Amino acid sequence: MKPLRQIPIGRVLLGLVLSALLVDGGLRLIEATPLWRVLPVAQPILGQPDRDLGFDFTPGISGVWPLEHRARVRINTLALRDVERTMLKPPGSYRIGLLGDSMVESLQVSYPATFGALAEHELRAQGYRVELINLAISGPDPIRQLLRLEKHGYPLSLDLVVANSSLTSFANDLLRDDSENVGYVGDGAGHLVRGYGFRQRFSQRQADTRLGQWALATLRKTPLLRVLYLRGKGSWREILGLPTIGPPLASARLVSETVTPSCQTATQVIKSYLPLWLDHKPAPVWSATAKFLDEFADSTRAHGVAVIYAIRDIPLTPAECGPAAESRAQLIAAIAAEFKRRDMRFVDWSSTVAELAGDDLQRLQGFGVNRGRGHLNYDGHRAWAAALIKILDLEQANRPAS
Amino acid sequence: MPARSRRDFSPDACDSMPFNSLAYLLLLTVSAVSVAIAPWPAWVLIIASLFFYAVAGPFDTTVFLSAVALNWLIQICIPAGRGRIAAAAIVNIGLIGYFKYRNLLIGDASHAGSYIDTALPLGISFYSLQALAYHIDVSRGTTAPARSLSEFFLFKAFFPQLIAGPIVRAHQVLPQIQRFFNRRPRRLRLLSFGLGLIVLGLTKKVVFADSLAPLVDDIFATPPDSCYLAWLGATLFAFQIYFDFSGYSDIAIGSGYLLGVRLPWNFRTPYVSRSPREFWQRWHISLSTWIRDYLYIPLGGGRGGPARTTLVLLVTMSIAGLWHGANYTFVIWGAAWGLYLLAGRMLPLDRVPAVLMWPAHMTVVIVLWVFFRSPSVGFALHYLDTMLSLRGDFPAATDDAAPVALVVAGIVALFALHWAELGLQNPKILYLLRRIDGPVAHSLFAGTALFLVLMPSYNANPFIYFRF
Repeated sequence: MKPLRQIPIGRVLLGLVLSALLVDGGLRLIEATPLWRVLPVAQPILGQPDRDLGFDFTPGISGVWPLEHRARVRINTLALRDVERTMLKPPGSYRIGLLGDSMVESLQVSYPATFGALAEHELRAQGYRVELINLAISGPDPIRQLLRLEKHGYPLSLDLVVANSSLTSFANDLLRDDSENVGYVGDGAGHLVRGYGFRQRFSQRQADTRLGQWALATLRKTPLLRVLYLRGKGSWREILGLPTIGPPLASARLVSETVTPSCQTATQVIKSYLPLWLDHKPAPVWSATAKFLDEFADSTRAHGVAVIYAIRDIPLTPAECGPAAESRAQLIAAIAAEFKRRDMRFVDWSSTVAELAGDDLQRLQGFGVNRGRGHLNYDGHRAWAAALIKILDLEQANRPAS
Repeated sequence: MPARSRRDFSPDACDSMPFNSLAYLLLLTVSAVSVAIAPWPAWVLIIASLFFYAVAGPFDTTVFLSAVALNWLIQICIPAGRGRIAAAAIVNIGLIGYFKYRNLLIGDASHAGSYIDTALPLGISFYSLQALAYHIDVSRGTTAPARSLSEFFLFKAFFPQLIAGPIVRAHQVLPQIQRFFNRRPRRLRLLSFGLGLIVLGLTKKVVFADSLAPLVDDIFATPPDSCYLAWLGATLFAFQIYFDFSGYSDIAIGSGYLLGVRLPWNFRTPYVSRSPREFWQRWHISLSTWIRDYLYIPLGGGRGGPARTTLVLLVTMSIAGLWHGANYTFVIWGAAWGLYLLAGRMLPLDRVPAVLMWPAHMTVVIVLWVFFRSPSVGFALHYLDTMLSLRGDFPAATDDAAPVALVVAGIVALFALHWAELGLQNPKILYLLRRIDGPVAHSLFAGTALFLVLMPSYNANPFIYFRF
């Protein structure tokens, strides 16, 4: 072995730089050619820390989304996962904003295949002059939707917003967590106010510094650095590349299964949601939920925007299961009452989709061998588009047909 | 204990230290440096091999250590000869039989796609064959026995080839192992060669095999309804398994080289072959030579009449197929290869122009892979029916599906890549490596290997042969 001082550090570094350039160049080549459909790609970093929202898309950024299913995605210049839109609403047009989490954001398919784009295409084919603008961003916390609406939706002169949240987002007490984005926290006087605890995060503190901005820009533009950065965020087992210890993936199943809960399970699951919406318990969780609903209603009313609030993942009841059906009806009535009290229209999204696509909603999610779990697949987007058109009820909205 | 079958393709199907992991690169680096500077290089390798195998868990490690101990006991307790061979066969075939084929033998088909419901110890199919060959060779007097348990242990446990081969013979590796114990390990002459092989193997695994895996899994999840998809799935699987297994072998041989042990080649671009015989001279060479030397020739080989030759070939290839897994699909795959080899002997295939023979031969190879990849015989027959019936349409250009022309171009590119790999076997490549060998090339290869193992893996794709 050579003594350390005899090792030609300069030449070793040169080799390492060349290897980095080689791999980075390879990743760029893959992304720029049809090879992106198959070969390894670096996941794009589509957003950046934001002092108001916690996290927001970076306008104009694009890349290949590699998780679950591959798609080329682009964030438009208004920081929306949407095609380019004019800030000024075209005369005679009816603008609908789609709010939601990653299910609505739909990074897994190309934009024209998303349910918003499909519904817009279909409605235009029917003669409606509508624009369905995707305002969604991933993250289960419903308050993100309100914040996105305030920052990106109102400047677009929306006529209607269709929000889509999972029932579990309310039940999991996410609204009081301000560690990643705005949350409702106590002000010391017994009131809930918007908390900005996330601003203490390192990434938030560095976001506005010159060094932080340079680092983020470098990360965005360098595939290899993104690969290293994302790998570094994993657990030590993931960094070392050791297999994760856990139950087999659903992908292990050779034949897809439809999970139909038993009557007893379905009843138990539905009943677990009842205390929040019916009895307003636990009180702290309900306080945050009520605060969110109040703010959402007040905000949209102040801007003259109508609201349809769709809540999904309300378990469908098995056939001939009276107790579950009864509990579900109770839950739906309680949720609907809360929205109606605030002049917002509530939609039971799971039922609406099931009416059009059948009760097996799991087949609408996931791709390939992972069908049955994950985000919407192509069938899912088609079903959601049909459900969206159904609930929009544009005739009643008295919109002009061209 | 959950069922573990190669067909599962689930993370717990491979709980070992994958070659395409940072952990493996670190172990290899530490071992290579330690072997070069430590006064007891053999013990460095023994400890590293134990550590490598221990990651698989106490069950696998216990079975492996028991297998080593039993084989050593056979050597010291039973004189060389037929008795020792019989004892070695009972122990080693018994181990594989118990862990791999028990449920097949009792006809328990409780698991769709596999008869396996017993955890299969990591690498058992490989180290059992290796041990059996060792005892046969020593008994035949074609190789000298290991001088001590530690020598024997390192011969069996040398971590680059421990779990998926190449299935090394004692005469190939034992003398090299003994050099470590004599504290005269082989000098590392061409670092770029070892590192280059590792980069090549990682590229095959990370860039190609793992990228093809989700496409293949998707098509084989349910029998496809179109001829186009069926052919696509089978062709892609042909490349997936080649990239996966030959990639593993390249990394194993490269790692062995860095540690001072020359392992035999296991693949020589098999898809350039033009006959069944040539295919098996290029595919999983260490297995095919093992089968030839310890099964085919002892059973009579081509020495008898046509009937006997046919029988021997079919039996041999069926056993070779069965070795891959406890499922009748593998037996049929092996037997079909036997028939094809027989056809290769009987028909004047060598007179057919290469331009016709190669596509015809590749078609057979791809069709046979369907049995290998299918979870059951019924599935395979249904799949083949779709493949050969020319029914179904090309997928519509919706849902972001790649255009057919692009898919065809991709397949052509895969074959072109395979032919290009043939060029790497040119001695000029070795001269080139000698010319560029130096700190820049070393860090270029090492850096590339490092970046490759850090590439994102969006699906769990352990090496396919890790559980054979």
